[in-house]
Amino acid sequence: MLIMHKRSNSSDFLLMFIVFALLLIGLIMVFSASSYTDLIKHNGDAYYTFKRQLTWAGIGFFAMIFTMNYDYHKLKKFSIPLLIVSIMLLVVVLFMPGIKDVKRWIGIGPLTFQPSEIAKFSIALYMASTMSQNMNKIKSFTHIMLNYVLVGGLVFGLILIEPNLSMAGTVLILVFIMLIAAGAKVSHLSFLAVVGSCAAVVFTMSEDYRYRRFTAFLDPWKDPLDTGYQAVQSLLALGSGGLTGMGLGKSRQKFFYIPEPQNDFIFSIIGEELGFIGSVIIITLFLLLVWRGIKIAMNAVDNFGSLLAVGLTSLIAIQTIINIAVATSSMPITGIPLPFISYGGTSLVFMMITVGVLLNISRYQKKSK
Amino acid sequence: MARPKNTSTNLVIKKRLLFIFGLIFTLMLLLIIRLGWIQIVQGPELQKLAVEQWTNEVKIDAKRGKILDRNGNELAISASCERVDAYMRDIIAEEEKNPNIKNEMAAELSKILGDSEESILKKLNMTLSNGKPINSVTIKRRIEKSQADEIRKLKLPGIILSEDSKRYYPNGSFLSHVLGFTNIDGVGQEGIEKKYDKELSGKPGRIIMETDLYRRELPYNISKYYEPIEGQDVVLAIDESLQLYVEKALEDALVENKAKGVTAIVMNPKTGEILAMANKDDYNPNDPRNMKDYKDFKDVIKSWNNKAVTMTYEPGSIFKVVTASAALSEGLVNDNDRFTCNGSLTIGGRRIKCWKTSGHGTQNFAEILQNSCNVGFMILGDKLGKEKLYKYIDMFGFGKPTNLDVPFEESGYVRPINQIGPVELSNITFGQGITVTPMQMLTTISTIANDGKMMEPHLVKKIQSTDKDGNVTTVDEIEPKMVKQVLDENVAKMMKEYLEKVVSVGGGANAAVDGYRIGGKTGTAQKAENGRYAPGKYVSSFIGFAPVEDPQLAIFICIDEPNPNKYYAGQIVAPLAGRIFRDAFTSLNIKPQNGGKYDIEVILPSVIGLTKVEAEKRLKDAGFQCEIKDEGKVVVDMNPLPGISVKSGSKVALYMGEGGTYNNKVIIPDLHGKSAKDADTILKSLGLKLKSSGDGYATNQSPEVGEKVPKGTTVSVQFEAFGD
Repeated sequence: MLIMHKRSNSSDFLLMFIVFALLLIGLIMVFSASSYTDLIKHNGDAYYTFKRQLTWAGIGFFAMIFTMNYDYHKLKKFSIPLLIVSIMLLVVVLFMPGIKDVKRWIGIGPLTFQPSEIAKFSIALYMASTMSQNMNKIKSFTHIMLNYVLVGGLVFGLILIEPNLSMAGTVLILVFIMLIAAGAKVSHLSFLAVVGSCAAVVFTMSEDYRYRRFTAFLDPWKDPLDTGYQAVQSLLALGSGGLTGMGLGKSRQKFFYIPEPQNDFIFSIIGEELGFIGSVIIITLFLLLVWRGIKIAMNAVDNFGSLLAVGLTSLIAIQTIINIAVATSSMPITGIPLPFISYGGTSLVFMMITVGVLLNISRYQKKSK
Repeated sequence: MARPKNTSTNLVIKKRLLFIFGLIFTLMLLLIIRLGWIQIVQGPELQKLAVEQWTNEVKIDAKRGKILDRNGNELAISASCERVDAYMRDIIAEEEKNPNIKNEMAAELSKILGDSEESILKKLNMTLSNGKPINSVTIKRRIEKSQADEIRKLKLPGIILSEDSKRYYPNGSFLSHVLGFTNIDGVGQEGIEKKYDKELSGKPGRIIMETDLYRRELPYNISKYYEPIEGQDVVLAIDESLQLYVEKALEDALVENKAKGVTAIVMNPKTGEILAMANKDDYNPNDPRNMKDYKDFKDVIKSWNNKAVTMTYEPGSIFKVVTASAALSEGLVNDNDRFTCNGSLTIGGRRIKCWKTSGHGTQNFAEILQNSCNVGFMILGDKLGKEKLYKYIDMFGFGKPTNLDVPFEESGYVRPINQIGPVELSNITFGQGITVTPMQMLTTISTIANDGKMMEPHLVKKIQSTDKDGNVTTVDEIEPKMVKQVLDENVAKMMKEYLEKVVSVGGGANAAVDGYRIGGKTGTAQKAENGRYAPGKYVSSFIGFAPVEDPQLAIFICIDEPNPNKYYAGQIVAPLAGRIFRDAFTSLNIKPQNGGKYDIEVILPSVIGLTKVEAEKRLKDAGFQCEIKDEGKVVVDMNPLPGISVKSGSKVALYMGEGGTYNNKVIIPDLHGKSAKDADTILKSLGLKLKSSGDGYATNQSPEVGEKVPKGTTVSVQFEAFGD
């Protein structure tokens, strides 16, 4: 079977270019966003965060080089073991000391990583692998419930209790999108969407504080110092950026007004420094990336490649959309990094691995067209 | 092999993939629209809010201008010092690391500032009404620079030291009623400080700093600095040295007369400039709220009153200058008119007494002023009628403020003309039934002194500003401003001469200063309390001007409630006026007439029987020149004869001889207005004897002035106290 998949030698150059562009912008923006706070928090070391991010980018780069040269078909055999390892890690993380009752990280020496990042990837791999082998059962409600919804739900639940609602949500949406891609029945998908929405509504309404936090985004100015603080600060950053921005490095909101500006709210700083024009360029880059990803999925030589490509592309797209939606106060505040740009080792490395896999899939393009 | 099967599913997948891409595309497009809405539509508004958040505006107080006297002496200055404020955000941030930080800070600050730890801690723990910590709190203002430096060294979180200023009056209570004072925020509360607060205070500057969330200044310098506009200096017309003399004189007078208060004002009648203005007792503007001498804070507030403009009282006889001016202006009186005083006059069926109940006899116009004869003025009032008298009362500005540049000025009370009957009219002619302020009486006498031209009085001479290099520019100069011509120039001249006689021979004799022509008028008024005159409570006043030929000074003095054993203005205020005139002549460098020689009439002493040397010395001491005639050891005769009043500096011919026969004729000198002691000295120097009767000042003598009598003749003189 392997013989059939001829490597076309050249991977998607445009995709690689987009990723490098985003990576570069990310490094610059992480430095811009973090240097002042680092200066104060890390004894005058303005490069504290930047150096780490640069290291991770390097690691990510090699991870990408490795995966883009690693025949993705061989990943199939890891799909189940990787999922099991992921689930185990998600259980292990719950027994970690955590920070303020939040248990998202597992530490190995001085390094920490988020098992949920691995989990997302392994879900995509597992689903692509399983679905491509069972394409004829995709219309079976029992099949999708048992193999995907239940497995996805388990991972979702484990991440949710860390707690990390946004990451858990991402997993759920990923599962849903992959079901769409694989050709699940519209009625089944609709049913899942309705049940999921109802569950979400019940979940948010069940606790008053959760409800208030959830709805704070609708009018963050009502409580600008507490529940609306981050949204308000993000809007102030974007607003001061205007059309053309304050200029690279000239954000004011990064001076502690936005907490941890190099993390989940880096897009606000980009909007402030580079303006609407800069923000649109970033979104366009992401859109191009998604387009390349979908194209790779369409031209993949087999269903596994297609589904894996769409899964990984969706993973990037979902996080991007959620991150920007949060920054623009278009949805409730939730902490999710902006792919390739936000500071964070695990996330960056897994994003690079993801892209590497996509690039590898692109090497086995059908000659059609 | 599996291909065909795959192709059909692939088709579904492809459709679904396009759908997914469409979904993502739509969502991202929506995000772009949302971003455009935020960044472009709402942008300007959000940016404004953001700028407010980043910027920290610090107000820099402008340095308050100085108050200077006319010669540039500093009367009120602002010394720079510092203030300590605490910005709570930094402290709260620090508190996370060190929960005990506030206690430690309070302890450290307490050591340096001397305030109790508890009080500082209380400030650090202050909260807003909603329970949230306050943004910033002032720990202490006006601390010394050394204290500030010590605090700086501690590098306490959130503690900001900045410039502050302190108003300082280097001379303490000196000129306090004029200067006023400021409150803790440097806002003028009284006096010049209040009236000229706008000019003195300047405009505060601002530093707009961009800061991070914790109010740390940002590394790149984008701060905007708006320099404060420093306050302007106010230069007063006050002459510091004259003011000093006046205040000293008033302090003495307050004690000597056991008085409730004394007030004096000196003004330049030509310009309206106030050269000195003082009331005793006063207060210390460095500590105006000190309760040491008071039980009730109301009395503390009363002590701030500038009585020169706030005291209203019935002026008594000094008001006669108004009546006299009116009668002269209206041409109702001339030197041939005679006024007979029998001690009282019945007006409107009511007998109104003159202060001298035995009567002044027959007098001319000049004499009714000299004698301050009430009956004479009642007659004048009758001639004038109320309409004409009121015309002058209004023209002299009674019942209205003088517009002196002080924050609070009273108007006095002038009874409406339709409530004036003959009795009321009579009373007003000699200053009863009307209330005035010292300032109004001063402008009245100034108007007479200044040829009938009333000048608007003012304390401030100019406003000036000093730049950083110390260059002084005049911003505004107060030019002399004539309010109106109240009296015809000739009338004013006549009034001046009449008033000069009041001082030279009349009731104001004690105000005389050798070598200077002084005009003035005294007045002793009973104080009204609860609608009737209070026994033993008087206000004794004097208004005057000098030199008569070219008045450069006008003064007002009053002693409020002097010791009732000795309260006549002629006795107590006139000497005080003389003292102030003398001081004023010295400090303003006003020279006596004829280059220092007294152009006054002096009684020529007798030197007959003395040797040539002795005689010459004696006459030179008295200011005469000698011309020796004939030969001999002793003076046997002189021309003119001793006892005559001649101008000092005149030539006296001495006839010498061997003795034996002398001319023993002398001329009876003019003793009017002299005290018994002075009269005795004069008569002794002429070889005459004194037989005195009564107490006070000479009013009658026998033989009459100018009669030639032999030496040894007894002169009987009648002394009377001047009762007004």
